Amino acid sequence: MKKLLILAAAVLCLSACGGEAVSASTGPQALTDSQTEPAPDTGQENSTSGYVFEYNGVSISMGAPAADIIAALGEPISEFEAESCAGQGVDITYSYPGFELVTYPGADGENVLSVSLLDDTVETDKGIMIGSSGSEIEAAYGKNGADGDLLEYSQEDMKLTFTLENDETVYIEYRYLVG
Amino acid sequence: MKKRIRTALACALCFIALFLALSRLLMPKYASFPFEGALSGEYYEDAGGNDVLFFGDCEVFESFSPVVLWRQYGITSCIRGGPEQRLWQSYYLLEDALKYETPKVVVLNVLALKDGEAASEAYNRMNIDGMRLSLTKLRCARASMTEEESLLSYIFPIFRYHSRWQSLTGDDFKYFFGSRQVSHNGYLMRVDTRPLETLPAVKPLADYTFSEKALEYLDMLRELCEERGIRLVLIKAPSAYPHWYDEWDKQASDYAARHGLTYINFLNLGNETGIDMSTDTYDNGLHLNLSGAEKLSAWFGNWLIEETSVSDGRDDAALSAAWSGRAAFYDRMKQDQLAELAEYGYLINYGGRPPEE
Repeated sequence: MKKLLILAAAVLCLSACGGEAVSASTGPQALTDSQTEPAPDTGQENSTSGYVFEYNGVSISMGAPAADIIAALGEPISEFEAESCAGQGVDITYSYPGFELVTYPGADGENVLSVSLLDDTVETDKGIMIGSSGSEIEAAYGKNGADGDLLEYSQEDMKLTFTLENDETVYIEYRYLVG
Repeated sequence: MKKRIRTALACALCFIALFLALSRLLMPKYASFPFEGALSGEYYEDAGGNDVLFFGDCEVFESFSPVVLWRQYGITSCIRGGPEQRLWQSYYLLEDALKYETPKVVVLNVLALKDGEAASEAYNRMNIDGMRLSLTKLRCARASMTEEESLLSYIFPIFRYHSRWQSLTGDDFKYFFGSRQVSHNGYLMRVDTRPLETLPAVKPLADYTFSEKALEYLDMLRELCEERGIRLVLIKAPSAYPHWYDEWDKQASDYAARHGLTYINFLNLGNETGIDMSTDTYDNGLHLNLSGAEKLSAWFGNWLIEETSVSDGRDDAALSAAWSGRAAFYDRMKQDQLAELAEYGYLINYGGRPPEE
């Protein structure tokens, strides 16, 4: 009987220990534990580090709280909500002239997930825009070393990506690396 | 000596019973939103005797209504879809399903061909946890796991969910002995409407090539169907987002042509199916609502009857009795959702969001 009690206690300890099997930032902890919509645990939701996109005097940092940025940018041309499967969150795309800003749900509201530059009316802080060549990008951001049509630059918890076709930039994206 | 052995055995049995009971208690039940995690386990209730099995991600389990296929055409079917289901998961879920039945047609949604990695542990869990323990399940887990996951936790889920004791809800006790049915042969119903008004810009990609890993498992899935004499049909559901690139469409089409398969891109069949994203979606064009799923099923059921060996089973009394119960549950849920919609303005218990959000 004594052994039985010890075994039972061991099982209860196993089930009751507070440690996480995996990081909460992977989502399932929040999802499967409480079955409520989880907020990606970035741990750095107020981060303003990394490459910053500027538009009409508004600085947009990836991972930063989005509310003030969206208010400062003014009325978007359109909004699109993409609800992920199984309540993993809602990403909202705000369209502005020449670029789109996408947010993800943070613990205290929306945070900036990405900014996509779509035409040559906007540019990066180093003057790279749609139509810039690969050598212009490397002159501005340094040698990338990558072959092919994708030039990627990482800084802090974000990535700046240039997609090229025939040595001409067709797409630029700033993206926060959530979780 | 005998007494000591008996005591040891009793202790071992008690330990196992406690271990299993705690495992069951701590496992998520998915009896309330999100329901998607219940789908892989719920399949076993509907397994056996299905002529058509569907595989793929949410584009599948929100796009086809097996009850409509039965009512209008007498087709027996089940959806074995899961959220963000990857090709390797579709393959192993098919391998698992073939232990219970051999359908005449397997329908696979091709969106996941673009994905070479797991979306996240959450989605892995929702696709795999519900599978019955077998080598197939373990192979599926091994093919799916992210770096943080362990195979052991798919055998003994308590190692993954042990900390849930802090957030147990009434559902965990209420559905300890049996799950709450949430789907209709794998179809997750939503009657609400949130029309598609605008879409984000289509972003150019640096590389449009399908994932090697996904293609490898598509080959395996196709070969498995061939071995078992099952007709494989590739489809692209009519979801408007994420964008389905022409380059992807061509690869899917070329693959089908190369292997003598049918590939149906429902994005190109709006006139035929009648899908209208101003009325047939509950989330801006990502997923079909009930109206959309019923339209698509009506068209696809007709195609299945005309183009495959699937036949009308409504003359079979046993089948009719079984499907009558399923249809009644379907109608009850539809009424329940419509009532919720009328009372609250959104689906408060079915994953809906208030209109103003």
